[in-house]
Amino acid sequence: MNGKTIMIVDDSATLRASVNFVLSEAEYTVIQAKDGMDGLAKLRDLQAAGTKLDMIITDINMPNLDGIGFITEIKKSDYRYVPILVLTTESENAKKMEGKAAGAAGWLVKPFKPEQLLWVVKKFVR
Amino acid sequence: MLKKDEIYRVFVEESREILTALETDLLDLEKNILDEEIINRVFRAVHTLKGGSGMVEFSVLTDLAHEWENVLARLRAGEIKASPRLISLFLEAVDTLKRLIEQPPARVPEALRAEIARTIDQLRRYHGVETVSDAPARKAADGREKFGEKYLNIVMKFRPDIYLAGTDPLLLIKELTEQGEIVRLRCDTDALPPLDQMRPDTLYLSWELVLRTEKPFSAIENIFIFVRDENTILIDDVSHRFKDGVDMLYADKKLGEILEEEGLVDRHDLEEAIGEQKRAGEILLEKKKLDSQALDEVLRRQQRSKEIAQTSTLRVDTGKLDKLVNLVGEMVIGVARMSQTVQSGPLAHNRDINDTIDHLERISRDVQEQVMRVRMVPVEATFRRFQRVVRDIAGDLGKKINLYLSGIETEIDKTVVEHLDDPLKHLIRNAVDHGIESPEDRVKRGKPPDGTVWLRAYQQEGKIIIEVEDDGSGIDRERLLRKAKDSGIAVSAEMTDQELYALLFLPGFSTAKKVTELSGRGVGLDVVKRNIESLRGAIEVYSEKGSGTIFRLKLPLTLAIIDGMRVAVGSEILTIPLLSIIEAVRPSPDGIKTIEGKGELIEFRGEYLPLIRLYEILGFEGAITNPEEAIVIILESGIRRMALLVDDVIGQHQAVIKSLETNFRRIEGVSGATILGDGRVSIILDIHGIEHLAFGGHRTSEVVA
Repeated sequence: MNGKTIMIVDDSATLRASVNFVLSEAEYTVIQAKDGMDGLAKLRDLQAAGTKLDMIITDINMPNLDGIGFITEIKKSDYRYVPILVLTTESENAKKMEGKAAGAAGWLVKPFKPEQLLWVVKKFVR
Repeated sequence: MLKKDEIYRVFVEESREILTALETDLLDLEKNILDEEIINRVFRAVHTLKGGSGMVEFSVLTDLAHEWENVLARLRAGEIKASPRLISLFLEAVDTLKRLIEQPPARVPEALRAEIARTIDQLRRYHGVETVSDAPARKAADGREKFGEKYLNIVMKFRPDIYLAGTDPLLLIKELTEQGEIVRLRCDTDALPPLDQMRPDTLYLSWELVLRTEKPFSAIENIFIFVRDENTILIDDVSHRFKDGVDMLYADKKLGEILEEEGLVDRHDLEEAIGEQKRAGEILLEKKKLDSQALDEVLRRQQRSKEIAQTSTLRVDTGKLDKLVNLVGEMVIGVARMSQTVQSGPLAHNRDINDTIDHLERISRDVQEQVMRVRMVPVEATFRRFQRVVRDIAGDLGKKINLYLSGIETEIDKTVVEHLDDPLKHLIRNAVDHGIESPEDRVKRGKPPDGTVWLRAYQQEGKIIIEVEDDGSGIDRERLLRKAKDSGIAVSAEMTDQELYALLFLPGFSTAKKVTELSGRGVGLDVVKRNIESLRGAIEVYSEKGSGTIFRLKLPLTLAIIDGMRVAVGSEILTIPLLSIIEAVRPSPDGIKTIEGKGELIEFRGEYLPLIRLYEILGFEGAITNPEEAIVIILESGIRRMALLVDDVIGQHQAVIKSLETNFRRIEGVSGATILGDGRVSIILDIHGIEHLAFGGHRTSEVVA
């Protein structure tokens, strides 16, 4: 492992699994959460354990707490400087900007290839 | 006002240049089919041709250029792409136009007219019938893909709360360094507050940098994909500002402005310094506001920038230049004569006169050197032409060959360059045709299927060296020996490589297994050798079986002057080119032998060299005939060494060559004449001619062990 930890928050298990696979291959430690609420819970666990987080990748459309709400909450927490990447689709271009406005650092359009994901991650995690 | 035919002459000259450049660009375009810069250049070239031909009412040409321009407009708009077929069509158009501009517009031959009509017809097919079928390629063109080296000026001003968005500007700069080289970087620290007011989560800095990159524009834009909306990111292509890697902007800026822009000093310090009316740099240094290394660096760049900006060009008729070279030559001789006259007269010890003469000699030498330099042109244009030659021949032979050029900026006398075209074409054809194996054979031998030919130029010890190297099969010594025996040439297995390779330059001698349509028999290497020798040059061959061959041409920097050794033979003073002299020695009594059938031989460092009595072959009288009382000059002709018997060595001098051919006629063994300081004429020997006189044409070197 390369000592960097990344959280993936998405309600699609397939997507979480693929992100997990690609990032683990690249030696990142991956933490998975299935929606915004779950994400916040995991963040609290991390904080309790004193674990450093290097990046958060989150979907927008999720049950319970959606991506925008999740980001808004993160920005109020101690993790507010962690770069956040939002996952969007081609049809929801407006969401990108919404995510940016809420404080996301970047976005990735689904579906993406492993190298695209790694390219974006490497932009923020060094 | 210019006369009509004068305008026409200018048009033809311009067109020739445009077409040559156009050809190079088309070949480049073939490699980078999406390069907008090249496409734009090609477009402009054709546009210029069209305009020019319109002015001189060369309507046939205008028609073709017009159709071509239409196709190029579509290419520029990304509607069609530069397919190999299209580029071949363009290249054909270049060829047709090249021939066309050499014809008087009123008398264009019917066959050429038909050819132009055909070309126009083919160009018309691209007017909207053939569209891009390759969607990704088009998308890339839309995405402003630009390849080739360029300089991008990048301004980065981020929101102060950028860290809150999880972006670190430093990472972006690091990312830029992965895409190219940051040649200049300035960090603006003006917004930094006093330490006690500074917030750690706020960004106070902004950056401006110049990135040199070969990556497409889009790759650089992509770096800023997530930040360019809410931050100020300006990316400008400033390649036009850079010349030879130097920023031309420095040329017309004051040092103070540059220092300020580079962030090395601030405005306040600068104004204070300027107020003191001293040189800004010095004052800032004194005040320790600037460190001296940084200042030197900026000064150096400013200087370079000014120099390059000042380089402008002027076209001069070469006839006028030649006249100037001749006149300057006369002047140098005149000054030398005057000097000698004074030395032998009553004023010999007059200091004023001697000083004046010294000064005059120095100036006239400088003038001569400068005039010579004007005649020098880079080999680039000549070299570039061969890209086309290689491409065409390789294509015909079903080979894929890369031609690498180096030293294209090397300068050489214009006359020499003009005479290099044919010999180089021969050598390159030879390399492509006979040197480089078929792709299948190459793979079998563990080589990459694509062959490589290198064409290099460089200066070495006052000579210009041009090399044609291939990574082909090399010269097969055994086959060369066999072939020589078959042709009835006396050879032995002990002959050195150099001696054997000399056989290649004999008329009608070829080792090529099969005669191809392209090179014919023997490729006329004998002609190559003659051409090079007529330029007072020499040709050498190096080869390793299986790995390749190098033909190395050694050429003089200029044809107008020769470094010579003056020697006396009888009452004559002769000049021998220094280039071919190895040594001058006085023979020892037992050093000379006469061998039946081989004539006189002289021992030189354990080797027996043929002795040539110069007075004998030139028919001079009154010369020293006893070698022990005379001097022998050891010479190297490129094929063999030999010894010339002369009376005495007088000394070295730089001789301005006067052609005998234009004033008298060509004489074997004589390459020209020069006028000595005392006004006498000295004959300049042509070593290859002397060799020919002494040994005859077809004999090859024989080894005496």
